[in-house]
Amino acid sequence: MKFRHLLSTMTILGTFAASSPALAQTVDVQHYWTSSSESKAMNTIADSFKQRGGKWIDSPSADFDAALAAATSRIAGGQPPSAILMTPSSALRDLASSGQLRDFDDLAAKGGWQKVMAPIVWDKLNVDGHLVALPVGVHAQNWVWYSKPVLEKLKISEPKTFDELFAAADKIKASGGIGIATGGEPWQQVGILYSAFLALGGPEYWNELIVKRSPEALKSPVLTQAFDIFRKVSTYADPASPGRSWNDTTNLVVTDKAGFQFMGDWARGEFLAAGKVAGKDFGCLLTPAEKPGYAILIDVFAFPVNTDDDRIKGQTLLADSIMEPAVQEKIAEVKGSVPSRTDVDTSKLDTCAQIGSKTLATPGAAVQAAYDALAGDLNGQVTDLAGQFWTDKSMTTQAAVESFSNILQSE
Amino acid sequence: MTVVFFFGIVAVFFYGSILWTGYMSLTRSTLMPNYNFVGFDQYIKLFTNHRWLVSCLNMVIFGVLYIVGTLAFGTLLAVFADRRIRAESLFRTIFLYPLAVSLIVTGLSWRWVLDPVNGLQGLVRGMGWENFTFDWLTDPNRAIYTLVIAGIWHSAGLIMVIILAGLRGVDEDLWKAIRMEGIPLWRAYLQVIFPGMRPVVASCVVLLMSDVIRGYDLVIAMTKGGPGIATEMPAKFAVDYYFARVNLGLASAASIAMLVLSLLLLAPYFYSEFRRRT
Repeated sequence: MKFRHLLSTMTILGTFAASSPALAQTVDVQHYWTSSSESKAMNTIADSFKQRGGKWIDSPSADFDAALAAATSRIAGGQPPSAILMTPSSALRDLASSGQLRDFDDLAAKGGWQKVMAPIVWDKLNVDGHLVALPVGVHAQNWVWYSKPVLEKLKISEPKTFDELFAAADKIKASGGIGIATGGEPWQQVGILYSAFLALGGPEYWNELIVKRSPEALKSPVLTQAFDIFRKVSTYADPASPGRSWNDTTNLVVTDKAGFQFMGDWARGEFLAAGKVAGKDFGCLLTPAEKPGYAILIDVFAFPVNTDDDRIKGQTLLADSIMEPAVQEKIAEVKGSVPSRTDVDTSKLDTCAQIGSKTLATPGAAVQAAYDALAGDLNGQVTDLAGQFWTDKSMTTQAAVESFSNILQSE
Repeated sequence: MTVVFFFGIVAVFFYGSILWTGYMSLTRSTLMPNYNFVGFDQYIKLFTNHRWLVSCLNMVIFGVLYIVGTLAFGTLLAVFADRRIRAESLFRTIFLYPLAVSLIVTGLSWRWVLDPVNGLQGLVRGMGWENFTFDWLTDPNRAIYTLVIAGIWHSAGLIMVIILAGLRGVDEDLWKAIRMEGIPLWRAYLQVIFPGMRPVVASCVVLLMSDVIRGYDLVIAMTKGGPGIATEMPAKFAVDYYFARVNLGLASAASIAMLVLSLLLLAPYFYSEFRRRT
């Protein structure tokens, strides 16, 4: 009796759910852009989308991992979001090869998108010959940010080498400030390690080490040097560093409490959001290297296969909004990235973004960041190792290099 | 009818999920399930993974200290409350209150209190004791103990209430006999009252043990597993590998290993219960 009652209730509810009318072209966007500069960038896309008559449902998560977790659960549960903000990582390849993602080959051919993207960007967006992700902006990991007032007060000029950088940091520390601001989360720490690999080894070595994972590259003395530099940076950590988020850490440089920070160029968005001007209030450089590389991380939208007509149209509309040059330019302006379209006017971007787009255009300079290049959970394992090496001062460089080699050779 | 229906639901969703997880742990699934059987590869990977081993060790350290500490502290409070103190219900409410606070809030508040710059250490230094140091939260060798402190604070009240209920159930005649014999109070508790309360204590231990094995939210809120990997826990390992590192196979292996581990930990309890009944 009770069971039948339950069934009839479920049927009635089901009828209601199925009969809700499709009014507009809807997108349900799973993302993690929640800091002040990030939300400005997301609003740029949302506004452009709404102007075209779409209905935007915002599904933000606190961080990158949480957003991906929510998205995969929703896909597995048969209620996929319309779009997921992510990076072209192994997760994207997994989703695409299991047929979960809509491809945009038709729209790309119509819009001539391949011609307006750097080849390294285009390659990352395609899985098995299909365009399965659309780029929002191109970030790079290996940047160093500094406070101009702090450096000027101590008469320090922009460092050109790691030695100069550490000398400058020592001076700042001696004057009572924080030499190098470091956050306490392992992903922030491993970023410094990766930057050191790229700076000391150069782009070609990076490709051998991280992309191809060749055994010869693992024998190079660069590994030991990079871990030593990483250890050296860790000694500048202030007592409040453990657990601190990246944007709180950037804020120390923004407010002139700290001199330098190693962080990807999403940090520039935080400077800009605080009303600071590149070249005047803050400065930027790629991690000091003889041959600078540019470890790119692309923010992309992936579009899970949806069956509802209203939502399919919504995806198409969102794709058009994202690829519009004006939107790409605006996102780069507020978020600190470089536009993923090469035909976007970069003259309005600040000095740091100019350095970025120039390096991105330099042949051979751009490389895939480890987060996207390393297969499976290798990046996660290196992150654990970096976090451990950072905090456990009794771990020797030799032991760290050995673990690192073992991880890279484990797959 | 209803019972069968609900039993069916439990069987499908609970045991079904366990079986499915077990199957997944024998595959090389990454983001999405993959049903190709590869044997025990994932378990080999799991038990050679440094972070997993650290996590297991942490669970043991945390578990022992947390269970012993909470039991000791909760029992002490219960004994005090049992002495018919004034305003007993007020104190009971105060000590039970932390339980009403979620572990996330507990973790965050303790993180603020123990933060070396903005918390207790900063406060005491600000009052003039410049050399006062209490930076356990950021010390990789000691951070695990801060989790124990927060955990005990959170759960001691619950244990107090359960033990107090047990104490209130003790026969008045027993107390009369104790008074007539002139046995000192501490001996009365240790040697007469508590031995008769074994089932109550055993339930407390099981309750606390489930906290230990589930231990996730407190770690997330307080240390995020850091500094480094100093306070990683098995549950966090599984969640991280399920989602952030999209390795369904390894995460499932970790989950099954946790299940086996908890069954092993509970085995002595079941064994003693079983022996008493037969």
